[in-house]
Amino acid sequence: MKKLLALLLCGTMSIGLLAGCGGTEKESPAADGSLPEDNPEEHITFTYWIYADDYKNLYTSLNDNPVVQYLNDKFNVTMEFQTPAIGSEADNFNLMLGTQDYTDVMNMTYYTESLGTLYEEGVILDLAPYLEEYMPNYYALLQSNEELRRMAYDDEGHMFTLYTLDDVTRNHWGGFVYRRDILETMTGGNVQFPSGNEEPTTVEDWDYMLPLMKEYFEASGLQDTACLIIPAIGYTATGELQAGWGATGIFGLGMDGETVEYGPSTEQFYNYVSKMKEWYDAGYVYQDFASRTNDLFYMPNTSLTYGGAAGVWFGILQQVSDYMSVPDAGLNMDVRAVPAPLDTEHGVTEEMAGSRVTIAPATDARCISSTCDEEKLVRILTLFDYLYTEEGDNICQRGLTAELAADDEIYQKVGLEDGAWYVDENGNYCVNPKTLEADWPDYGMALNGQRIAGGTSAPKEDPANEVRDYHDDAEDAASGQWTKYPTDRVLPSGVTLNAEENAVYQKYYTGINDYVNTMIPKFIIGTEELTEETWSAYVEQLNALGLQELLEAEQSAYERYQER
Amino acid sequence: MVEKLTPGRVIFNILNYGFMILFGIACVLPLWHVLMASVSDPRMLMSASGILFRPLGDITMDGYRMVLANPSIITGYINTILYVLITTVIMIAGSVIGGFLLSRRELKLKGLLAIFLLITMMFGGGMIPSYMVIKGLGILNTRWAVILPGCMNAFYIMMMKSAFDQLSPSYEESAKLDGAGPLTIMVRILLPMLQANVAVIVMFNVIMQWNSWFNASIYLPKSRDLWPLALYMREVLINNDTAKMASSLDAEQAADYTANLVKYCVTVVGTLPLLCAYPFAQKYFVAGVQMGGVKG
Amino acid sequence: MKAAKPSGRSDRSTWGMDIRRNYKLYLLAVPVVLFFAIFNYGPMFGLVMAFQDFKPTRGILGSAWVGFGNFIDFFKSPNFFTVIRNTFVISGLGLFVGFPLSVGFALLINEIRLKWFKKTVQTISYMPYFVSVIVMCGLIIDFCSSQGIVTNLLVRLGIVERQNLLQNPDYFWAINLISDQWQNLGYSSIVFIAAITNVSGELHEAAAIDGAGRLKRVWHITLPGIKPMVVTMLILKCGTLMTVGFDKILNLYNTSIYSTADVISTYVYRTGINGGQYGYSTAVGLFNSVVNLILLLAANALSKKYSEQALF
Repeated sequence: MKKLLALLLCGTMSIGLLAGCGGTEKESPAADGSLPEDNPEEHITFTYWIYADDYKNLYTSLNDNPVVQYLNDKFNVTMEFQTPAIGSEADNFNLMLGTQDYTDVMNMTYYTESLGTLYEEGVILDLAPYLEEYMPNYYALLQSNEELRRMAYDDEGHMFTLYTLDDVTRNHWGGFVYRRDILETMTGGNVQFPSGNEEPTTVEDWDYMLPLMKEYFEASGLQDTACLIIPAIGYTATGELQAGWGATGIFGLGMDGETVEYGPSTEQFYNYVSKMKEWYDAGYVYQDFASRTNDLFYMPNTSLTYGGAAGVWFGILQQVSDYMSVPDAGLNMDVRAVPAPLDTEHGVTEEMAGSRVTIAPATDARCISSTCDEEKLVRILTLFDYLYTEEGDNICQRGLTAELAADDEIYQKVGLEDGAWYVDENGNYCVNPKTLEADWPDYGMALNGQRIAGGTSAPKEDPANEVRDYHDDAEDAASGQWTKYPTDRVLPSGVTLNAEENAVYQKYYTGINDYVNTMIPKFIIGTEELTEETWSAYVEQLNALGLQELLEAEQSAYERYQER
Repeated sequence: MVEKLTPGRVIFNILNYGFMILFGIACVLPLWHVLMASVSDPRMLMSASGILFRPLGDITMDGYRMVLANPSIITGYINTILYVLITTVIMIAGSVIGGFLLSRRELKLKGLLAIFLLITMMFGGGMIPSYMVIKGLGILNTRWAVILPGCMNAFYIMMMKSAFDQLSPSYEESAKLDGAGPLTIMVRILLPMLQANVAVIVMFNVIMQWNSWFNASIYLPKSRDLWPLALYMREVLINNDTAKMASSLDAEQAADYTANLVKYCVTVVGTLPLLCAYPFAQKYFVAGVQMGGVKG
Repeated sequence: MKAAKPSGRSDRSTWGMDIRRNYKLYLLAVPVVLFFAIFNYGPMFGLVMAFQDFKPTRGILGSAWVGFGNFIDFFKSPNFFTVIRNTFVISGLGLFVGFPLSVGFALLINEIRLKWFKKTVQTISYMPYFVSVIVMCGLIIDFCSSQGIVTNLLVRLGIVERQNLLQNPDYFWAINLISDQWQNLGYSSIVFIAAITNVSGELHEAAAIDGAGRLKRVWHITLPGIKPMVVTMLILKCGTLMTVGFDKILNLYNTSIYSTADVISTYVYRTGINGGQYGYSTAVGLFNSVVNLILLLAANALSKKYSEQALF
């Protein structure tokens, strides 16, 4: 008997030993490549925490990314990426903080509290003193743009993060779209919007458009249809739809452009909800909208949208024009972008609808941790600064050029020896035509350096050099529709709460948000009656949940931001 | 064993078989749906709703081709099988010993031991302290970090305990008189009668280990090559998470028709081996019945 | 019954005698105890986070103490009673309806004499367990939509008006219960199927010869035979009443039915983990664990008193 147990144990142990070997082998990969110590441009290794991506089977670690390889060689560094499993990013990030195992560079997407606290606790470095000297390009960029500058520094003049800068108008990727073909069919090609415009612009126009769609769907014999798909919470958290009624997303600036307001508690929002309710009762709004919480907000119920059974929904750039058609199945869609309908009845104008928020000019941010000594810090900053130059930005954003791709294994493997892009004789940027062919596999971000770097599509000095190559005319037109209204009622993304305000935010925000998200769909569906009285009871309840305290916190943060 | 067929029995049989057939159909449907979706035309799949009874459009293996082209899937399979084997061996030893001890009436410390184990089912320290323990043991980023924390479970011990309880004490009495030690009684006399129960906990453990990804995601941040299949699968299933949808390219990726298809294919690739495993465990359940029948 | 009492008698022996007599058994226990001590009790120092305003950067030693502040925050939160009630109702339904069903299902399976049919049904019935929660919930949402097949059926039967069933708070508990059984019944009855296997065939034979009918034999032989397993599982189940499958609710519920669908875990997910509030979520977890433990001890005590079966 003991023999059996001993055997069992032995077996387990030997398997374990084997297993253990596999584990330890991996421990010391970066021990090679040592350079003489007195070399001023000594080879350095820095670690970088960032969330992972799908590398399309080309490689398994961001370390092997072609752009990373190029940057490593150029700056005589090794970037060692630490990427958590997809879906465990927040856990992993908090573990890193909790165990004080900081990487040298950290992407801060999953950090929810104040950066000032992290600085005070000695976790991250203040970059402001180094900026002018070691990051001349980034510095110049910030000086050229008031909003960027304000965003980059905090109230005390520290700078903790290097941002990924995004050109909002050019990269506008989503908004509401409508099926033009339905209107053409129903009117026999004679679409006449009450506003007299070519495209629907007012609530009246939508009142003309939605019944036509309903009629069309009723005649189509499709069982499950929806003229207008709204998000499960009844409004767009980013503000696109209710902007037409003059209401902001969640936090925004009031009509005076100075007071911070909470969109779902305003009079304009009441107008919006009333209209939605009217449309819901009339059968225009998707009857099942509230149950579709898992539809990504830009991919609402694909069985409706892609099945040709939806009229208006939140679409993405790619869906515009005839992309969604299936001619073989008799499905010919003409999808066009549509701005939020203006509530002219209550006198809302384009200027007042300036509360559209979709993309902030800065998205990802990265901090440099206190694990870096000054020398390392300077080397890292120098590398990142390159990414804010036009050349560095292009390589990061679009991938390698022919010259660089010539000796890159991955580019060879996929057949992009000519590089991902080039500049033609007129000085325009063009993508390699190969990548536009229908059978070109979508490599996503595997071939460029968008994930890594700071300078992604920094605003260009010369607007004539704007990149148009990704978009055709229809997509340009869509971007134009989506960015039609001003953004001056948007709360700038650089507004940061201090520790005290953050505590207020943590205390009240979820309760308020939960209550709003519960009530708005009920108002629209009719589970809760919607009248002036019930609305003011609802607003009162919001105040009871701490809305005013929350607004005060946001207001003082905004005022500090203004003074920067 | 011959059974007399009374009218009541006939009616019962009809109802029972009828119910089982209906329930069986309801149970096959979701898996059938996944299977059909995984070979459907990705564009049509996107515009479909409800359960699929047959593939949409022409049958395509593109999704599977993409999944199997991923080298991580093979690595994941190997790792998972390794983890399942090792944890199962340790788990069986631990659960049998634990269950046996808890079923000993003569043991004074039995109650305390039971509470000691039960508490571990209810209370846990959470992610950060667990990580620190693993780090302190020096097994971070090794296979042991996945194997050890999950390989014993008070639940299985309790199940084995009640299985031992279920046996009549008379079986061990005679052995005891012959002077057999507790280990001999446990392994030689009692264990052979509990094949079905061991089969159950083995199956539970295999399924749990097969699907487990959390420990690996926490304890193996720097060793992707040690990840189990479930973690790779989760990456595919959960990709396009709204949390990180910030840039235009992310959004365009989401519109990629094949992404949806791949999710179904990964589900099939990940669960098929488990579905095939059940009949093996089942053999022990049926064998038990026959044994009883033959003896009678 | 007197048979359950020998443990009582041995209590009178001293610890020394016990250890001397059973040292072999205790030696066996050492590795198991050691294992749980390291991997389960080791991390439990983290429970002190429940009494802290835990900040990852400061660690457990450096974070500020807040006493019962996190607990009070939870008790005072506006949705406290709703989520507690929902949690109890949803897991209670699982216990009072789901548990008997899985035992019953095992008995019904056992009554099937066609061996291939029995095997097939068994294999098939556990299949839904492997379909991912996301896919399952996607199907359920489809079925319950205003044009879905379940809604169509219920409308035709005159049970409900045409509407999206998941937008009506009244139906969530039923939808959740039924879909849970759909996915888990086969899987959760495996334990009992195996237990029935171990019930001695000889007893059945003897009873059959004595002229006991099917039902009688199930009642007098099969059920008592699997009683230890049933009681164990039942007590363990009582110890999880405060825990409701999190993924499923999260994928199935929506804001318009929070009033019946929101449970502790989903609520904490929205308020705590999302904002990195580890102290708070640890506190809620600890509260859950304590309630679970109390329930389990109560169930164990009740069971000891009325069925002479207990975990300890």
